[in-house]
Amino acid sequence: MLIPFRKIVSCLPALLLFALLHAAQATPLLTLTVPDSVAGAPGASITVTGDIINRTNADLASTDLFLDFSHFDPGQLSPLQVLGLASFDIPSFSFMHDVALFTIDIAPASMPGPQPLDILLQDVNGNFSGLATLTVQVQPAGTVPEPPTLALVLAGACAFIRLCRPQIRKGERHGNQA
Amino acid sequence: MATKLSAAQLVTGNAVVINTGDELIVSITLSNIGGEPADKIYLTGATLALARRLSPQNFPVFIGNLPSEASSIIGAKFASHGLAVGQKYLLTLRGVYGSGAAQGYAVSHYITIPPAQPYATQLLRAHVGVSLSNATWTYTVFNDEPVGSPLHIAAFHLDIVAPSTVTGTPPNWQADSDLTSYVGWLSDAPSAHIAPQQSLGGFQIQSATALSESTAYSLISWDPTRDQAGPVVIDTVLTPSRAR
Repeated sequence: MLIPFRKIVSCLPALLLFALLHAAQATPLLTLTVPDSVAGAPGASITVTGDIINRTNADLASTDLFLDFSHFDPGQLSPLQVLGLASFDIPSFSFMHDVALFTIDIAPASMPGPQPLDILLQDVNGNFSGLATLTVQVQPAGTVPEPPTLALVLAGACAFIRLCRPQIRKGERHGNQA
Repeated sequence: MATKLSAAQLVTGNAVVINTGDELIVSITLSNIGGEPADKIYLTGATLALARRLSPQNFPVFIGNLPSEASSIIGAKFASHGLAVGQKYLLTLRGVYGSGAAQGYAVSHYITIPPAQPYATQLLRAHVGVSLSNATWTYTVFNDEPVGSPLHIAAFHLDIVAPSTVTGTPPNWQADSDLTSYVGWLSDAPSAHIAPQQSLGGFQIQSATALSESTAYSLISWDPTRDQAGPVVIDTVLTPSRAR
């Protein structure tokens, strides 16, 4: 059975409103995004950055935001909020990208392996984000952390240039001889 | 990655802050917004930026069990020195909960330092120190009232959470205890009361456990000039730990 086009058009506002309400229920008003994992050696202190989206309909200062850590091994990890130590605002319906959120101190006697940690963001008005889970990959003591890709590319490019430079000079000499 | 809060989840709620000029008294709500209860919650640390913590002096402090959607109030005292009125400072509470392999938690809340004003009721300036040795807890009571204050300390009440025996009582003081939930020491001889700027040791208990936790104590003053009880002070000090 075909539904008349006019009937569909007349229902459109109601459908849109329903969709918006459903979306509002599904997504928390505060959103916290952190990396899936970070790595560090025993005794290290890691600074974790992430993104915050504010859809609470209120402007928020960095000191209006609180982090709650849970479900971690307190003998292995010690998280500490740094969010708010640097002052900034997140206007309503805007986001903050790559902001310093917290540090994690890895105990000096920590055993190598994955250590999970749950993080919740709340604001001064009682809004909460969804729960974010971060895995701290504790590396064996003495392991040098893997450098980032960009650093590897730059190091490779520098090595390539250094290798090529004597050949260019030789080429120039050849050219002079010719 | 966002997930649903099915497990216990501890968060902070409203904070009440009183600035007496010397001390910052903070009361903050700790709530469980998760779907499961958080049992055996202990507080193992409390910091307010770099402020010196006055209370609790020692950890852990047993908070209790928090069913889903339940709350508890946590109190702490910090020295006001170095904290600017109107500025925000980060309060962090950390601890453990759960049976067996305890889970860690750390919750934070920025609090604003209010203008200094005298505390609503007069508090006794006094504290208790403790030394531990061979499952023996020995307490010394300090009267920190200024010289000339009429307030002398006449009673020391201690909450205990493990079976304990009273093994020490200062001269002219009497002990009373049910050996499981409280110990009280009382001096009915005015000459034995602890005068301002004086201290008295020898309050002692023993227990089978070697572990400690902080529990509440109260010191009650006596004003001989008015021949009646004066203000009290309530704080926490280490006592034998409950079974975990």
